Amino acid sequence: MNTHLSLNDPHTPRRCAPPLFIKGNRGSLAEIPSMKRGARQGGVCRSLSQNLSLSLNLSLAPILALGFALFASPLPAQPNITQAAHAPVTATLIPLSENWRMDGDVPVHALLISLQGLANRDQPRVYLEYPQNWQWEIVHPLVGFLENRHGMKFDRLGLDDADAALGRFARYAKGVVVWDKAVRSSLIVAFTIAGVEDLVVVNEDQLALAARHGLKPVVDLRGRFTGQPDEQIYQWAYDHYWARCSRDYYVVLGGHAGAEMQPGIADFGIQQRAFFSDLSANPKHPGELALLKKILIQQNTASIVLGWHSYGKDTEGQHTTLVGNYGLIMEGLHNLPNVSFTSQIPLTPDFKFTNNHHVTPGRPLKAEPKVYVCAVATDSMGIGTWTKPGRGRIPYTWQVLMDWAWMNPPALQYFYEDKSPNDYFIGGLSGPGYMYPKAIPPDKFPGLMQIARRLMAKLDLRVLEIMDYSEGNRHVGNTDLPKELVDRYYEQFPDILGFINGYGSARTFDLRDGKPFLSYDYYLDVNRTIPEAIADLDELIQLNPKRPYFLLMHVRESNTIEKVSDILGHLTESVEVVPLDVFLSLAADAKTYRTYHRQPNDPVDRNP
Amino acid sequence: MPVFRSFLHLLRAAVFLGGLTAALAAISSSPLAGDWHIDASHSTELSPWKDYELTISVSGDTVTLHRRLAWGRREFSDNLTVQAGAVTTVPVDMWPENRHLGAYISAAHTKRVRADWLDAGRILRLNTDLVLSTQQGDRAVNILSDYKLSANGTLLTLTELRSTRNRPIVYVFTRKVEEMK
Repeated sequence: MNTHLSLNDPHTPRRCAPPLFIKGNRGSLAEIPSMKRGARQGGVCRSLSQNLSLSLNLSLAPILALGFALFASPLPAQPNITQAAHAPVTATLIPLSENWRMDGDVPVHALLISLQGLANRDQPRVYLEYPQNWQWEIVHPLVGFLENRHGMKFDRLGLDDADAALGRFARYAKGVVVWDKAVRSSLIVAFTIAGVEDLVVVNEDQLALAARHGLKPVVDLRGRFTGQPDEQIYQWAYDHYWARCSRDYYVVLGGHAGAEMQPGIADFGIQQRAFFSDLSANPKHPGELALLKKILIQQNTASIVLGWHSYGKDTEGQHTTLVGNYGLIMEGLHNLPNVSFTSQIPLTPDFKFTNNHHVTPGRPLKAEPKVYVCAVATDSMGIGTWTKPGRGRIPYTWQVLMDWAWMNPPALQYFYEDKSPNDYFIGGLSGPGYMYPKAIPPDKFPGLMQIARRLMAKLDLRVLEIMDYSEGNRHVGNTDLPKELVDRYYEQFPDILGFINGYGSARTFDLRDGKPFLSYDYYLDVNRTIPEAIADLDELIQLNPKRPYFLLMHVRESNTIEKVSDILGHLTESVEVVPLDVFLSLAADAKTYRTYHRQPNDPVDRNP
Repeated sequence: MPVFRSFLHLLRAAVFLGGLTAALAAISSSPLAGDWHIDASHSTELSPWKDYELTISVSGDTVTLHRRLAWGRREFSDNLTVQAGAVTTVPVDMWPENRHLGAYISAAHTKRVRADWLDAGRILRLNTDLVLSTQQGDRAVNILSDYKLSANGTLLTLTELRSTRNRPIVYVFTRKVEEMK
């Protein structure tokens, strides 16, 4: 029997009830740096905490209520999102080409993405249909979902049709900002200016087109940055625009570098008036690093860093570690598209997040003397194999990016409604977003984990996945957690079913009060052939002779489920493939693994 | 026939010494010595690494193998120095062979390696004993590694048989000098 428990938090001070359409933060208030977040965001906003609801097994309710009571401190602020009461009846759909070169179609895409950010600022009006091979592969299925579940009608324009788009939406802009074709970083600065000044991003070749729609240059970056290094370019942007930018969102518009750019997240950054850069977190670039630290330290606690580090400057480990040092939350996908649109679309009234649970808390399963295997796919469901053949063939566990509960509700509803009986969801990654727990200052850890708990409750998730590349990676160094940090996770998640850790293989294992803390024993590389993967798993089974043996494998997102199924079907010893909640319950019953935490002499690699 | 027996002894000794001298000569100028680079297309898939460079140095009975494994900016390198015909205990920082497996060098951080030259110095065989640590505890593992030179001396094939693995691992290397030409 299920009950519906509202989690309105009386200690959450800053939100208020929404009208039909809710206004978000506006620039005039954002200009006042001394104001606190709640006031600065202005307007009336639908609160995340007010929206939180939890589907519970009735027998668990008292336990969980107690658990939440233990953590009833004020909810750390999370950014507000302008959200409609319902999806719009119609919206404009603009297909984009596959060319993402700076000297190719990036100029027209930048124009359209900036226009999208402005047009969608107070209502979802424009959806960009990214090409079929776009890394975030849910762009196309989501159109069908919005049509079918929300009854939306899309009015389709021509491919990259900026003229038609400006004809419809130029009225949401006050002019244009002109970026310098000779200076790549000027386009990133232009995205900042577009959001702050309500301008469409163009280069000199598009000035005439913009003029035909009444848009004149307001800011011209041509020649301004010639010969300057990035630290100087972004310092100029900081000096002129930072004070008016959001303290809830910062965009690191990295990822592809050089001749290519995939600024899929820019519409949302512009909508939210975020500061954009691709500043480096690499100590080899001290000037850029200093400015980046200056930016991050001024952002609100638990605010969002959108995008991805620059492939040309620093590493994932360096950047995510630095973001964690300031207690910020990484939402790491620079080409995540249409968030200015989807973030405003609510869940359908008939929907609630419901997972495929196989275990009843308090009733542990009995492990048999055999090998248990659990396959987990991470790296965001939107860029994995969700839409590929084979899903549903074997029990499979999927890591949910929990902040999408408010950043991208239709995407999560799509996944939850599209799941097969063999798909099981878990929370990640280390907290409410992508973060490394060893990098988070201890005083900021409880607040972040409080957000994670509430998102897990909303999304019906009972397992948390942890990853930490602050001291290593899947090649060198270590990805393990010291006992003190494991203690903190157990303390913060009293109602959890268990934790899993790693990305590549890791060594942190524990079991407390029936809640296992296990690490990956195997990482299935995309390039690993099926015969070699079979030999790998057979070897692990040989190396771990006790039964039951709990073999947790991380499946790199591009591996198909068919491949995983083939591998598991050809092992020399028969194994049982189970979903993660079953796996953890069995691991709680038979502790054949040794307790292990990060040791003081473990190797450390800072991901240079 | 004491004289004849002495002659036979001398003959045997000469043959033995001659063979030994030849073997030593072959080894001191070992055709395996040099810089080698993996040919991934003819090798067992290398993940988690993408690149493997091997340098073999031979000086008398002392053989040193320097390997560099790399994946983009991430890399690992180590040196293994052993004595031919003897067992050497060597320190081990980490077990890099397959970091995608939950298996790590044990707390002792050592391995025992016996090295032998075979086939007049064409093959270097390493017989390694080490202990790997897994989630269930320590596990003794034996690895037979043959570094085998092709007939024309341009290819080096490393075949590894691990006692815990059902399938051999084969890495094929080409001389870096050849690549430069």
